[in-house]
Amino acid sequence: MTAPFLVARNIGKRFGALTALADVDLEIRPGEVLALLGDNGAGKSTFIKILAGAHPPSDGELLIEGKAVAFASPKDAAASGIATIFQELALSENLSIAENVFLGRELKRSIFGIPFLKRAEMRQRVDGLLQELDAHISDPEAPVGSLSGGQRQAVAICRALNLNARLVIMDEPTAALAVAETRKVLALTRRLAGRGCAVVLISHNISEVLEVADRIVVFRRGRKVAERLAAETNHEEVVSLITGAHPDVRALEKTN
Amino acid sequence: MLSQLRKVLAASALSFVVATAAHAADKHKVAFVPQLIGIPYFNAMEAGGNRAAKDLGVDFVYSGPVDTNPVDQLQIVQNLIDQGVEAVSVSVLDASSIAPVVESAKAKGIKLFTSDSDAPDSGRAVYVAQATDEGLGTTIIDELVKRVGEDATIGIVSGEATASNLNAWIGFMQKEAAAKYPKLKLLAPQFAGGTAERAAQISGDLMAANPDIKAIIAVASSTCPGVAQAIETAGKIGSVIGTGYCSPNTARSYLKSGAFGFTVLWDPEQLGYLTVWAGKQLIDGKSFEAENKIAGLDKPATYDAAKGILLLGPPAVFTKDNVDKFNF
Amino acid sequence: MSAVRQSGSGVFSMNGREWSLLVACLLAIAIFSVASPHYATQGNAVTVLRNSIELLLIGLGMTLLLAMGGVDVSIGIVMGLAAIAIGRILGADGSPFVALVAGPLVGALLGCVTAAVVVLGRVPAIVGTLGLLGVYRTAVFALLGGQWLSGLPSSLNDLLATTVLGIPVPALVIAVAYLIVWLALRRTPYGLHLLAIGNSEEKARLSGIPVIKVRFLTFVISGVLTGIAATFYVATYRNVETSIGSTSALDAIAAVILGGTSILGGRCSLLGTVLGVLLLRILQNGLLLIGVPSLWQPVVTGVLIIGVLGFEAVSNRLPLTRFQRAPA
Repeated sequence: MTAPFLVARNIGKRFGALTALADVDLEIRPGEVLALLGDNGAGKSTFIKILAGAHPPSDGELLIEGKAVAFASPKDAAASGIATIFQELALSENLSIAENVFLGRELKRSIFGIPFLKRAEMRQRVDGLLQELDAHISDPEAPVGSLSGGQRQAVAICRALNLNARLVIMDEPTAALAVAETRKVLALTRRLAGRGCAVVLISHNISEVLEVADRIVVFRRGRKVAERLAAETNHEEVVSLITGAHPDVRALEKTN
Repeated sequence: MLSQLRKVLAASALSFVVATAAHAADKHKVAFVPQLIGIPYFNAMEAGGNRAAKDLGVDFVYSGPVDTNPVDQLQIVQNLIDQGVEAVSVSVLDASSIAPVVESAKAKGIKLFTSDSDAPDSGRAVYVAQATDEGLGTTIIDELVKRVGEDATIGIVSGEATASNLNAWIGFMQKEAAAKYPKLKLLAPQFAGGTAERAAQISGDLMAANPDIKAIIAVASSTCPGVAQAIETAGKIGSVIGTGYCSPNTARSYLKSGAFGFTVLWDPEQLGYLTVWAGKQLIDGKSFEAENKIAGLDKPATYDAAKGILLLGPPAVFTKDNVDKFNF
Repeated sequence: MSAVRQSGSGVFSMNGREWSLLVACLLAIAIFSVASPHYATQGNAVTVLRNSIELLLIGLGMTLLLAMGGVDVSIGIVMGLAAIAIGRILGADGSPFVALVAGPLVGALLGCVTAAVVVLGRVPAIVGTLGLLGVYRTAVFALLGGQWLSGLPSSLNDLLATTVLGIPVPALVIAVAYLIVWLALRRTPYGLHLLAIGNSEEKARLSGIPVIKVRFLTFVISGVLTGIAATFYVATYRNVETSIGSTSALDAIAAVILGGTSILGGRCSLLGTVLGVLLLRILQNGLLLIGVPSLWQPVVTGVLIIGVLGFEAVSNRLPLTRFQRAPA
């Protein structure tokens, strides 16, 4: 087993008197898809916001490749190789794919001190990324606003890869997609892991998760209540873990 | 900061009034309150007032707001009344709000009248008027015919289509042309709004559309530079005469270049003189004649008793020969 | 309407709106040529182009502002203030070369002021620039002191009304300005950032774009272009009137919208702006030449804008749909 890319130790988060998250221990390894499951308010979102640098944790520590890190902002997290693809994709609908992928980090050459875009090179890099992800887009120059939901996910993933992300967090990537589109995005997720990226996936769709994830972590009432290898569990068990009907969860919640 | 500046200026104006009052208590005091101090037009009126004061042996007090604020103006008028000047003339900014001040002046036996800009229903003693709409309209046509003949096409460039005074002048131009010069062809007035840029564009287009055009009249003062510039740019100096209701300072370079043949307006210096003369007449309790010959003025001033208007006389015509005598 | 492409592959690649405008311009020229014998002359063509210079320059800046989701309704008065600076230098018989630098410099400074209010002060652009419109307008009055700058020497015009390698200087300046703005918009990170901000400021910020810097810079660029426009204004009209530039901002916005730039931001066409300005000027000139009173010209412009935008809204079914979806 490879060394984990990121280790979370005893992570907790309180908002005033409210404890949103407590004592979460988690390892995320390169090349694996880790799915986070749980009801609304179980703490998944709070946890990924801490990973993404949007919230500082109240307790515990994060280690990246064995070294403790503290993120003051999403920028810090990005600098450490963590990219988040939000439900509401932060893409500019009026710009082309390549422009979106490179937005804010354009390739440029300086002529008389003025930065000019290296358009051909950016285009080439994006074509390569799209090919690697096996995402077919008929008109790469079209504005992203004219693409389908799945194609936009592909663009967002390209953008994450281009930022040299080592850990990509995907928040409900298939929530708004049609069946065929969902298949494509799940395939993309696997290919992303295949490139050696760590992927954290949040989803409510259990069969989807079982299909694509390597490992499953279940959150409940602000705690991590279970961790399973996808290959060693099934739909029913996952449901009982989420609802708290599973004996392991009951035992855990009794001790607390 | 601006209001502070205004206070300082008002204070200094008042101390000036007090000082003058203490200095020569025996002379009659006539005051004039312009719409705005520090601009060439009213500076010229002030100069005329001072000349009249010297000729007629009265004290002349000139004080006004630093911006065109009607409330400030009324306060200055009220202050002058309280300080005991005997006649005050106002170039009225807001005709609707001056009546109470007229009442207060009357109560103290002070003559309050208007100059340059009137408030007809305020009960003022007299209105010293610079020119009539009719005089301005007919003068410009008569002067033009002298230069281009009766058989000519003439363009008219005005400002805002809503400006009632400009429309009145145009009306009298058309009346004069129809009555006296049947062959004269006045083109329909064009409206340039307030900018010189648009006036120039329209004038250029008028010359292109009417190759036989002989003159262009700039009705709004804001259109004067545009009309002149268009004539210069089109290379029509000599074949097209520009004119209009333009002050000598605005038109000076165009009169000299030949783009303008002449301009028509009144002389505010003479208006200032007439204002102080009228104030003295009122203080002395003398009435105005139908025609008043005044030593310090070029032309007799006519009095319309029914309307209570003392008129400076026919408008002045400025040409390249006399323009340098004026500064407003 | 097919999906709108942002990144035209070349300076002269054209989209549907741009073609429509070109056809409209040619159609108007054809109709006017038939209707008036004075229309299709070289002199008139020069007049139309001459009349377009200021609006072209201001329009290029306004295109960037609208594309960014901003606007500047005070820009005409910015031109006025820059013109006063230029006029003062010329009026004091200063070097025309100094005057040449003054326009862009004052424009840039006022661009900084506007940006400070709108960008740093986080005031919506329409509100902030509306406020500044009042401030700048008062500044124009205060600086001119109720008196226009007129009859300025022609030294600046002598400098700009020449040709370089057979090309008139104004045409050269417009071409260079167009090319620079086009390159900045389509070939530099700045342009991408500007369009991303116009699409969604929040998303742009999430993407790591220096939103404040880009927005600030855009107001400054618009100011500089306006300062250059002021230089041509003063050179041509040799006059600065108190109402200078009062219609420029709305004219520019009209031309820019006509040219296909979205009032919602994120999408723009520089070539469309150029064609929009030309169409407006061609109509203004041609309508007068065929005898339509200037009073009716704003109506034609208004109908044109409502017509174009209305047609687009209907043909898109959803008025605010900016991007056509391709089949998945």
